[in-house]
Amino acid sequence: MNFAFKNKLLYQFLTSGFYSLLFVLLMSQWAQAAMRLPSANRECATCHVMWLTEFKREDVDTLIPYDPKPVEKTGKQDAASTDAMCFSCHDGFVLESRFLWEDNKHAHPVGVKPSKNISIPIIDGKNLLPLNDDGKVYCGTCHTAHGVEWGQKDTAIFMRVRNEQGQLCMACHKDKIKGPKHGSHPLKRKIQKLLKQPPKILMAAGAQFAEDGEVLCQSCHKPHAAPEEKLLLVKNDKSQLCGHCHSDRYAMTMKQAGSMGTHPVNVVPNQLEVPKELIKAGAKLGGKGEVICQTCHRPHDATPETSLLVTENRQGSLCQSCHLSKSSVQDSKHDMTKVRKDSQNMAKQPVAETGACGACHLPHKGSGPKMWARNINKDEEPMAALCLSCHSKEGIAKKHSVGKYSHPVGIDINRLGHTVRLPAYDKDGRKTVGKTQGKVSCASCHDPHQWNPLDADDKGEIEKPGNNRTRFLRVANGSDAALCKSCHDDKWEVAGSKHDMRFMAPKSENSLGQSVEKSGICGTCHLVHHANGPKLWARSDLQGQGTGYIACTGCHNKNGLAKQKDIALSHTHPMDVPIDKLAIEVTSNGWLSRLLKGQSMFDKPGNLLSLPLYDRRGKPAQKGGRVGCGTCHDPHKWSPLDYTKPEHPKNLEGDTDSSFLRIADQGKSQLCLNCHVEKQSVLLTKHDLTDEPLDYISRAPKNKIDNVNQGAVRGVCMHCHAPHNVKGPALWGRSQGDGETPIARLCADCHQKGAIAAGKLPSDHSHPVGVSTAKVTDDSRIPVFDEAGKRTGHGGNVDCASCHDPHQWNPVNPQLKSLPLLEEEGHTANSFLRLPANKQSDLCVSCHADKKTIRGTDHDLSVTAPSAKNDLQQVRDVSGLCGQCHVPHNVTDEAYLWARPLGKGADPVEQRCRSCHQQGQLAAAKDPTIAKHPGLINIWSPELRKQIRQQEVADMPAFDEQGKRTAFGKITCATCHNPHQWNALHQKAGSGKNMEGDAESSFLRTNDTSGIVCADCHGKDGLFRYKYFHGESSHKKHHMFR
Amino acid sequence: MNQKQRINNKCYKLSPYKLSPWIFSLLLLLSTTVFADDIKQQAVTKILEITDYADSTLALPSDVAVADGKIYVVDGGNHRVVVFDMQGQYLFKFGGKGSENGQMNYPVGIFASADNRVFVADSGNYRVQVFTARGHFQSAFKIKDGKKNIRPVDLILHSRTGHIFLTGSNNHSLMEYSHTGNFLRKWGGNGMNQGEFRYPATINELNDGRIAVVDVLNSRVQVFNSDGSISMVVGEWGVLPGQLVRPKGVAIDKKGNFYISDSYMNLLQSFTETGDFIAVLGKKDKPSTLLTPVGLTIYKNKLFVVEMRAHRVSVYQLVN
Repeated sequence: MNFAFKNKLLYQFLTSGFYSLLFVLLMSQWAQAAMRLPSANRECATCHVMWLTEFKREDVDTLIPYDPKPVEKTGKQDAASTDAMCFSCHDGFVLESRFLWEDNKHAHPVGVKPSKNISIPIIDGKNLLPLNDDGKVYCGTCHTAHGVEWGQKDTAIFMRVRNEQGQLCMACHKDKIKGPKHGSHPLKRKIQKLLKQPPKILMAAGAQFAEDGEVLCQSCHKPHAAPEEKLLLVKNDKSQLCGHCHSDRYAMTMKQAGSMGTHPVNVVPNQLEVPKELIKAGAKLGGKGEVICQTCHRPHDATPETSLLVTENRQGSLCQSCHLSKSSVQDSKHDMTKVRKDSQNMAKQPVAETGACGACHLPHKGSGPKMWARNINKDEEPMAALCLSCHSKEGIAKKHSVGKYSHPVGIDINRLGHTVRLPAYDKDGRKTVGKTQGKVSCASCHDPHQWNPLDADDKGEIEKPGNNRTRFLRVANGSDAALCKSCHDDKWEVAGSKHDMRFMAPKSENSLGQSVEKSGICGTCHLVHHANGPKLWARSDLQGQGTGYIACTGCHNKNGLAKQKDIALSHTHPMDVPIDKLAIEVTSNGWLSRLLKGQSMFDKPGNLLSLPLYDRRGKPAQKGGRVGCGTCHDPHKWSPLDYTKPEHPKNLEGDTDSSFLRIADQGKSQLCLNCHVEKQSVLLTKHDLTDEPLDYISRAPKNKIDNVNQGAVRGVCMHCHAPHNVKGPALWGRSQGDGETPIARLCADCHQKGAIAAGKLPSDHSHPVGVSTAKVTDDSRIPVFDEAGKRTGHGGNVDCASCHDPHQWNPVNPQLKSLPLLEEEGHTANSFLRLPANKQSDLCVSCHADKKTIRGTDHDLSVTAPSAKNDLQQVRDVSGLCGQCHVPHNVTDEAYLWARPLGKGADPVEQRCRSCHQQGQLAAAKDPTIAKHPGLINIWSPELRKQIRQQEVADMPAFDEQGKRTAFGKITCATCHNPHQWNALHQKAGSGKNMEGDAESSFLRTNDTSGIVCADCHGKDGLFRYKYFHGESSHKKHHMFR
Repeated sequence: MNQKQRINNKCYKLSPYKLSPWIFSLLLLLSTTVFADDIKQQAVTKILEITDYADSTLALPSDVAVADGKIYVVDGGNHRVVVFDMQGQYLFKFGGKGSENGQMNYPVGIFASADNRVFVADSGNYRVQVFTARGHFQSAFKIKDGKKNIRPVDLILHSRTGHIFLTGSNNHSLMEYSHTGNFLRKWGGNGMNQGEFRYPATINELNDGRIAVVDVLNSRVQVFNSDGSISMVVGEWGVLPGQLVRPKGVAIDKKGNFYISDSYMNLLQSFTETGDFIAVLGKKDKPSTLLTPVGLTIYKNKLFVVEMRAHRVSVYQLVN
């Protein structure tokens, strides 16, 4: 190789190297440029990244491996539909969908093969909604970016099928969309049928409804990020989802369920158990075992044609699967399918279809508590209204209506004062047992589902009537009255007493013709339904008028069962009298006496026992109530005290500590004094006839006897009064003495010679009794009486009890708190007077008001002779104004009850005047020498004179020889003078000063001489005739005269 | 020249001597293609990983900001911001689901300013909220484009103008606000051309004041001058090195290099200040250690990477 050749080779090498390098550079740029040219499928590859041709090239390394069909959790599928691909945009940087990837959310299943219930539509031989390569559901089954109408939305929906009407859901889930007839919740029904608008809480959770309000799958479900299982929008563990729309039947409490008339939900059943078979069939319970909507219903896969029930409910089979105990109603008289096959419930469902349960109960939209399926009267007590919807005059069970007088319902059970083992109910039908809450209702005594309380299999015969041991009673009510006793246990004391007809009248019958044995002890007197009157009276022989005793007098009359205890209505304690007449006020805290205001010696003010009272119909009523037999007597309780029941009650003899009295006398008359409160003032007075009245101080009744059959100590009242079978007024229980009037005869029993009060005899000359008070002042403090001795109004007769209150020693301080007054001698300020007679003689002037003008005049001895004494040696202050001259008892002068020594006079009137108006006496200075009209002149009385003269005449009475006013009699002092009135013109009291009189005063009856009696005979000359009596010559001046 | 000489000449022309350059070049080219080098990798060292705090864990976090020694992480699934120290110790949190002041609804982006304020793109509430560095609410303003509510994705407080730049997802725009929240201007719009966006995401400021915006579905990062004119584009669609599928986060180091996260390909790539690809951060030949990396930030030569579906923030030490 020569040098030239070598140089040439080097030259070629360098040249080729340069060109090679240039070529390489150019080639690499070309290669790179070739690599960077945009792919034709750029937009597709946004998602279909594996379509990029770069993956097919061997000359480049891609940043990610080629894996067009990766195996994901959902199975093998195209890379474009992987979770990673979707998330690459839906991560918040492109679209915000991170909520779909958050934990604890529920999403439509992916990565699973469709169940046999799923039917994917096929179009052109292909699934409209494709599955992945493993035949499983994946995101791409529902979603695709291809061929989707975006519409006006900003964001891509990427749904294969539009779903605003749930079409996509329904395309596969065909088994869920067929409606209730096929066991699925209805779709395409407008929510407006239930609510005005879709529930806000659902809407806030993302629920969707069609534009016109139709329910869609999305109304309850959400395919992604559903907060609850089953892709539900809201919690539904207690059927809350159901309740948001079906709010009219979604109660939160038993109370609510009752008021809504719907089956309770959200309550844990405590008396029944949801059977396992029902749970197996798909029933669900709440987390704590509560009954919920889904206990009976399923929104999907429910039993067809059953309103979405878990199982069928033929003839109430679903109801009875839980309410097993109620199945006993079938074939009984309450089974409408047997009794009234053609009837319907209020939802117009034939009972033949509903079965026994549905005939009376509707699980929803009932008319009242207990889901009642019949129309009710809202005016009735709510629970009773259910029964009365049939058992009334208008109902289908009108033959078994309850009647006008029926056991009360709607009354609080707590008034019994003890727990009861029968159920009580509130207005919403909630039941309580063994407590003091709730009200009595029909269902307290009756179990409408069970004919025979002792035998659930005994259904009774439809046409055969029941008895006290059946009739759907909860407790058989035989002779032991077990049902009645359940509540009225306190009434059982009647057993073995004189009101126990089993002993006392075993052959008697009640108004239904039931013997004692048949009716039971209670039933002899009481009928729970169709009674004859108040107190559920069961006897037909009612007598008498009024209220509170109409039942008692049915037996206690002279021909009745208790004729030996005839109470003789004519002389018995008053009935039907309002208690407020005794100044007793019925308050919410009990009885309160308006009279006992801190003055009682023995009792605290107002401390009275509240006794039963009655209205005019005989029903218990406190306010405005009236006295009845039951006020004093508890017909069920022989004695308020303990006693030993004899073998036969006929051996019982009653007394004041028994006899069914509510309060035992125990020698204290507590029963009487509980009402006649003010009468307790008789205690420790001279009219207190109890043996040892001082025992009242220690409140220890003397001679307490355990067995009242041996007789009990009588209290103060019972010494004079008896409530029944008395023979005189004022319930006089003693014999009567001689007297002119009924009252006087009562008093005379003691106030007569040889009797207890022989030392206090009124004497022959006493204030008149039995005379009319028509002409005297009417004063309500002074009672007057009729011919029978009963109090009457003005014009009645005066009697002893007009002036005297035999229960009240001291008129001013009747409840005087002092030691016994037994030894105190009475006077004009006490002595059982109704008003004081001392000082101003209030007692006297209460009737003789016209006489009180004597006060302050010269005839008022407190003015002219304050130290003067009457015949009883009483000074003016003691005797009183009137008493200086007049005394009501024990005077010698009958005509005027004159209490002063009589003076000398021609007639009784003058004699009385001359008691003072004569020398040596109090009015010696006013001693008329001539006090009497001369001769045997008689005049007429002013009444006769007026008839004859026919003009006004002066009141100048004539007097007879006994000194009494007469129609035709003598002129005497009192003809011209009215000793009680100073001034002829003014009927008023005097000045209180010793006055010198004149022609217009001086106790003259008149100063009008035109009508004076003198003129009748003496004519005009009569004017001066008065001077005959009172001229200078006819008067002797007394040294005291001024 | 005779026939023999012509033949010899032709042969010379075709002689190995004359063909050698071509053969040589072909061999050289072949070697560069058939025997091309592996994708360039950039080694990074993970120095910290933040996942849980107090009695909770991060849930689908989206972005991170670091200032004054505190790491602010947008805990999007919990609708709040959680703050850690540089050692990853939990300090405090603020936010909570809601729409009241201080509450958030799926926030996405965050920015911590040098003046101790924290700006949060409260996307679900269509607003920006401003907090103190301690997380106390200061102010908020709604983002609207006309009457339309705009979902802000990320934002910055521009260091030179003091204005707030934010990306609007559903109007595909870059929007500028005053520091008091008054709208100033926007640009962009839906499109693939330069200056247009298809879902702009994170935003960052370059050292010279230009603004880099991740343009997700256009698979690129656009850099704008402060007047809104396009300056450059980094990255393009594809699966080759230097290409992007789902870019989400962008960070710039002190040299001006770009770091871009790709949440689909689960990797980070670095680019020069002129937009040339440098390397992939992470390993290609093994499954990526990153899982849906999204928000990024660089602070004192540390790269903070939010990995959304891993519910963590990973911190890498960058090597110069």
